[in-house]
Amino acid sequence: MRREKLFDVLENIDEKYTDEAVKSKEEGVKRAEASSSEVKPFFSKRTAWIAAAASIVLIVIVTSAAVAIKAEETEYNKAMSFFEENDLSVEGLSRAEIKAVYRDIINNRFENDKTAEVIRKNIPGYEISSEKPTAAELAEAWENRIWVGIKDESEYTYKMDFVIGDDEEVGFGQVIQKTVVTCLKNGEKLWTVDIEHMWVTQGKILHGSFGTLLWETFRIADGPSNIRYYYKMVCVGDDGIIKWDKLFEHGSAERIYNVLERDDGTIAVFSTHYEKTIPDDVPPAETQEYLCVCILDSKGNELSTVSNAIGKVHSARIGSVTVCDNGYLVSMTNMEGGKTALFRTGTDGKVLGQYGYESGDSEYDIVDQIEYEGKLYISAYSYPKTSEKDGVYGKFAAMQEYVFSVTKGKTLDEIYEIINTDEYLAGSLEVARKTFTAVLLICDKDGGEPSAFYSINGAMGSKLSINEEGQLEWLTIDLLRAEMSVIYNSWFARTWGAVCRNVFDPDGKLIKQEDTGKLDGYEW
Amino acid sequence: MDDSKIIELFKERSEQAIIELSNKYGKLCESVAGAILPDPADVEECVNDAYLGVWNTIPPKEPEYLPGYVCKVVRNLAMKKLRFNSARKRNSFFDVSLDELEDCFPTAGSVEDEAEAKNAADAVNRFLSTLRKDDRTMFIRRYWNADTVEALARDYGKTKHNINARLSRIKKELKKYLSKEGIML
Repeated sequence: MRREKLFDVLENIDEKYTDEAVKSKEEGVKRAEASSSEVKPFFSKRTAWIAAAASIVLIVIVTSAAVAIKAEETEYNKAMSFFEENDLSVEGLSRAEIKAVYRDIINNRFENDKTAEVIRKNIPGYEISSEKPTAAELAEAWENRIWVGIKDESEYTYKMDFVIGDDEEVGFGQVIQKTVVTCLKNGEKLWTVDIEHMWVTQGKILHGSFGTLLWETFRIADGPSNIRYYYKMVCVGDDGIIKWDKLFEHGSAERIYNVLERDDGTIAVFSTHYEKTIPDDVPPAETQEYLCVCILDSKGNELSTVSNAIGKVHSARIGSVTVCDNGYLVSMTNMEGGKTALFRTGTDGKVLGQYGYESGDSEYDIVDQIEYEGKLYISAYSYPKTSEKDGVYGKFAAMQEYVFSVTKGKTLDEIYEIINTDEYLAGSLEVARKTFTAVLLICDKDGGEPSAFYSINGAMGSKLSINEEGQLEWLTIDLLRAEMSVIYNSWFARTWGAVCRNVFDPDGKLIKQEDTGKLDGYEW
Repeated sequence: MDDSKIIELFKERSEQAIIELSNKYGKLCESVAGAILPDPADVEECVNDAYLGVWNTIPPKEPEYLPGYVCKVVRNLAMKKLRFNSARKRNSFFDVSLDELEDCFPTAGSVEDEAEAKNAADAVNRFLSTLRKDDRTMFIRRYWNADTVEALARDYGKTKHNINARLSRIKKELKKYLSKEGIML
C-alpha cells in the first residue's frame, strides 16, 4: 500500500520539474548519440555503432541493477560491493569495520580511524602525507583518486612509503632517506625492500624475467657550472633481494621515459638528453637534443648505447614506445612547438625514419602506435592548428579563452567560487569536446603514409593492442570532464572520460564498439 | 525537424509525424522506458504504444514542450506495464529507486486517506522548488525516471560516488522537510 502511494506521489510531481529532467536526459542521450555516431571513417559504420551503443546501455543498466538489488539484502553486501567497485582492500578489517568505513565514506564524513587506513592503502602514499590526516584531507584525497586511482589490473603491483629526514651533509633542508617498496602479486604481498636515497614512484617500475627494475634520474651540482646527470637502476629479485644497483650516464639532463624487456631477456632503456657539455637544466634553445636507446643485459651490464641527434627541439619528451618488426616505434613531443612525431628505430636503437602528421586545419598528438597485419596503426587526438609560439599548451587555447571569459574582472575568491560550479564545468567540457577528436590513422608500415582513418568527435585516442582473438583494439576516451587552472604559475589542464573499446578485423574494418565501463584521463 | 513542424504533421494526420517523432526522440523514449522496464521487448512495445498514444492525443492537445509530453506518455505506459509485471514479481530498476526513496517518508501506520498522497506530492513539489536546478533534475531523473546512478554520473560529469552522495544529501533534506510538514505515508 505504501509503495502504491509512493507511485501516486511521483505521478503528481509538477510537470515543470519533470520537463526539466527530460531536458537533462535528452541532452545526455544526444551526447551519447553524438559521440557514438561521429565515427566517420572512409567507410561509414554509423548503423553498427548505434546498435552497439544501444546494447551497451542495456548491459550497463543490467549489471548495475543486479548489484543494487543484491545490495539491498544487507548493509554488509552493500559495503562489500562498494569496496570492490572502488578497488579498496578489506584486508585486516572486521565485518563491522567494513560497514563503518563504507558509511563513513558514502556520507562524506571521513571521521572513522579505519577510513584513513583504507584510503591510504588505495591511494599512493605521497597523496596523503601526514600521519593523521584530517577529514578534509581524506575527503580531498578520496575525491581526487579519480585522477590517479585508475585500477591497476597487472599481476604485480607496488606500494611505496617514503622516509624523509634532515639533510645531514648540508645541515639544513630535508631529503629522501629511503623508499620502502612493497611488491604484491595478485594482491598478495611478495616482498618489501628498502631502497636507500631514492624516490621510487609508480611509472618508474618494470617487472620482467629479471625481477623488478626500479629507476630514478639524479642531478648533482658541484657549483653552477659543474652539474652532472645520471640515472640509477636497482634490480630486485622475486625473493626481495637486491640483485644489482648501478649508475648510468649518457649526457646532460638525461631523462628516462620508457624501459621494456626484450624477447631475449635484455632490457631497452629509452631516454632523452643534451650534449654532456651543457651545464644547465634549461640549456639555450639552440641546443642539440638526443633520443638515446641503451641496451642492458639482465645483470645491468651496458651492451650498447645509441644516441640519435633529433634536432634543436627544446626539451623533447618520449610518449610511448612499441616493439615493431626489427626495432621500435617511439613517439615524441617537442615541448616548444608542441609537435609530435614518430621515430622508427632498429633493434640497436638507431633512428631509421621519422613521421609527423597534420592536416589543413588540425594537428595530431600521437598517443600510441602498433604494427598490425602489415600496417602501421597510430592512435592520436587532433585539435585546431596552433602557432609554433603557442607551444605544447596551444591545444588549450579555446579552453583558456573560455576560462578568461568567465573569470575576467573577478577577484580570486570569486574565481574559486565560479570554477567549482556545475555551469562552469559544463562550459569547459563543451569547449573541450569541440576541441578534441580521437583519430586512428592506418598507415603504410614503411613510409608511414596514411591510407585511412577513423575519427570520433569529443574524444581522445588512447592505447592500441592486439586481443586474444588476434583483433586490433583501439581505446578511446569519450570526454566527460575537462578542467584547466586559472593561475599561470601552477598551470595544468586535464581531461577525463569514459573508455570505449573499438575493435578492428585484420583488414582494418571496424567490427565492434563498446563501453568498457572504465574511466581514464590525461593531464598536462 | 522543428518540434512545431512535427506537431503540425500530427495535426495534418500525416503518418510522417510518427517517423519524424521516432527519428528525433526515439532514443530518448527508449531510454525513458528502458530505465523502468528490464525487458527490451517490453521497452519496444511501450515506445510503439506511446507513439500511438501521441497520435491519438495530438490533436486536440498541442504540447508546449514536445519531448516532455512524449516522455510522460512513455513513462505512464512503462509504469502501467511495470505494475502489471510487478503483480507477479518485483523485478525492475524502478523498484530499486523506489526502495531508496521510501525511507524518506515517515510511516503513518494505517492511514487510508487518498488525499494523503496528494498532500505528500504537494510537499515534495514545494521541496523541489527549494533545490538547485541540477540537484532537482538529478533527483527526478533518479526517482521519477529511474535513471541509474551510472547514467547520472555520465551525464553530470561526476563520479558515481559523488552522485550517490548528492542524492543521499537531498533525501536527507527531503526527510527533514517532510517531517517538519507532518507528511506521512
